[in-house]
Amino acid sequence: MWSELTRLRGVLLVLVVSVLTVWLASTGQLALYIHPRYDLFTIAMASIAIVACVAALASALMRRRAEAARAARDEHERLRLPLLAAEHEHDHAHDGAAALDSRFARIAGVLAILVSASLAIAMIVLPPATLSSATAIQRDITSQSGSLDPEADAAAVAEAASAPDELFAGFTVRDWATLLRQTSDPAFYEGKPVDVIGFITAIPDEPDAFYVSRFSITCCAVDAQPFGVPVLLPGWQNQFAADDWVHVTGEFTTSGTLDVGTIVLEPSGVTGVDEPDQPYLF
Amino acid sequence: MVALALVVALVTARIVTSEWVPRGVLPDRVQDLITLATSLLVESLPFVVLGIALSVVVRVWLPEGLIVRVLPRTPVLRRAALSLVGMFLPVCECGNVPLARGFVVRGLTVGESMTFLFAAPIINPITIVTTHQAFGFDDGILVARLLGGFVIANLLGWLFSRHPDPSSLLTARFNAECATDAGPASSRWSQSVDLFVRESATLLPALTVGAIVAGAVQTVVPRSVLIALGSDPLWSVLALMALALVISVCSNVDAFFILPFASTFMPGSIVAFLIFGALVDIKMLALLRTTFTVRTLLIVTGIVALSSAAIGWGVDLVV
Repeated sequence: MWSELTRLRGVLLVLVVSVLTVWLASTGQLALYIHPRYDLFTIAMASIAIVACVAALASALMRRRAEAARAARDEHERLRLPLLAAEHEHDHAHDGAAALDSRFARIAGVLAILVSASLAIAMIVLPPATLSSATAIQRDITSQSGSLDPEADAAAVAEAASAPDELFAGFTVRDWATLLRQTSDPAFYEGKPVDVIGFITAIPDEPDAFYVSRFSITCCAVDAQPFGVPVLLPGWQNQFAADDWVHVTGEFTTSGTLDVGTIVLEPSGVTGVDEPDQPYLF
Repeated sequence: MVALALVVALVTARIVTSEWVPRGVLPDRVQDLITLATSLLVESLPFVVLGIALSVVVRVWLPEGLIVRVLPRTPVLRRAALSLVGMFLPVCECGNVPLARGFVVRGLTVGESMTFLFAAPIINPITIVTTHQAFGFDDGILVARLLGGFVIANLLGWLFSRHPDPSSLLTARFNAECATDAGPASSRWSQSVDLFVRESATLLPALTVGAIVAGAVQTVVPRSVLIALGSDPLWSVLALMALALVISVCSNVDAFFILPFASTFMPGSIVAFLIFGALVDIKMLALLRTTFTVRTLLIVTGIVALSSAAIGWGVDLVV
């Protein structure tokens, strides 16, 4: 049984990941892990993989039955011809010795199987989740940079300065965070309405404010980059916890003595909301 | 019947537990590690399955000796031709591993397979298009990446082709695999299924462990440590290469990933990231370990790292 399981370990892992992929897609949660541009390819390959795994498992089981039947026949033969049986056992022992890699390789192999099996079980049992604010802090939410070309940025900012308010109301956390990196001129932000949804990332050493934050992904959650807009709300800890999703409206103001950059969002309203269906920005 | 029952059992377990197990049962960092590892697996599995499928085609369905026949005879030209194969088989770097294994089994030398393995992640249409979308022809990033990838792959191929005993570069298990592949005792379909079982048994645990290690390193090492090194000409190249090693992002999309860092880091370090990361990263090393010895991988990593850094510093000097 154990040898059969080790032989089929790859097929079982492919099966678990493929089933998870198809289930995530059918429940609209695949976007928690990969960029939607890969959906079609990923779902198609996962479906093909499931068919291949079923075929492989079926063939392995058939072979097992055939081997059991042969073993039974051999056993019958062995009773009649003891000499032949002894030779057969000798062969078997020889095969076993050849199959044994070094001891280290065996231990590494078993460890790899145990680790993979644990992840496989976690993937089947645990609820799908987005990355948390712990990763936003770890990935340095404050210092993501803008774009390639500072001159183009300046031009974009100059152009944005005269844009209508409705445009700004549609800005995401990433749009505002990118703008904040390009200009900290208070006059630019004056009177511009902010209306964003994001999760709360606590700011180390700054209890009176938090980042309303989002991750942006280009390929999969592995490359998620955090974006955050500082929100001034003394005592926010009494109403919310880190990682809570909130809807924040308000306007930007100068931050004074706060250690969060020159500009901070002064909210007119902060309400708790459910995590959006697409928690990442693409 | 049992196989189908297993699929149904897995689906049922997934549906049932999604109702029962509450969110937030694990500490944030552990949960994030699982999310990162799962995301790497879900993203790369389709490419690995496609790679295994192509490897099955090469090993079981293509006529014996066909690949060796159609390639040029001169070793240098032959490796140059192999470094362009990725243009027609854009499988992504994880998928190239089973395919390169297939090439070795089918009679290509270790050096030749390496040339394909290390050229294909960069010299393939998807990588070229995404790198161009991200950077255009700015600062020679695209050209340096393509030329760098081609040169490094051919350099590796040439170096390892001079090895007196190429089979010693491979793991004992893969050498055994090459030896057993010779006798087609059963039908092609059952050989194909058998190969799928063997290749996935070798590659999937490696991929999973690679995904977990990459996820764990990412949840432990603060990104700010790397960003702080960004503006120094010497260190920025090394910092982005370290980031590439850790992040294990696919070469098809790494250009989009690194684009927002472009104003912090110098163009040469972006080039070093785009070359080094496409060829060597934690996930890829775990996958390559199924085929090559640790010693071989250390040499490969050293050569790729030195070449990428040299090209990166060179770009910074010229641009």
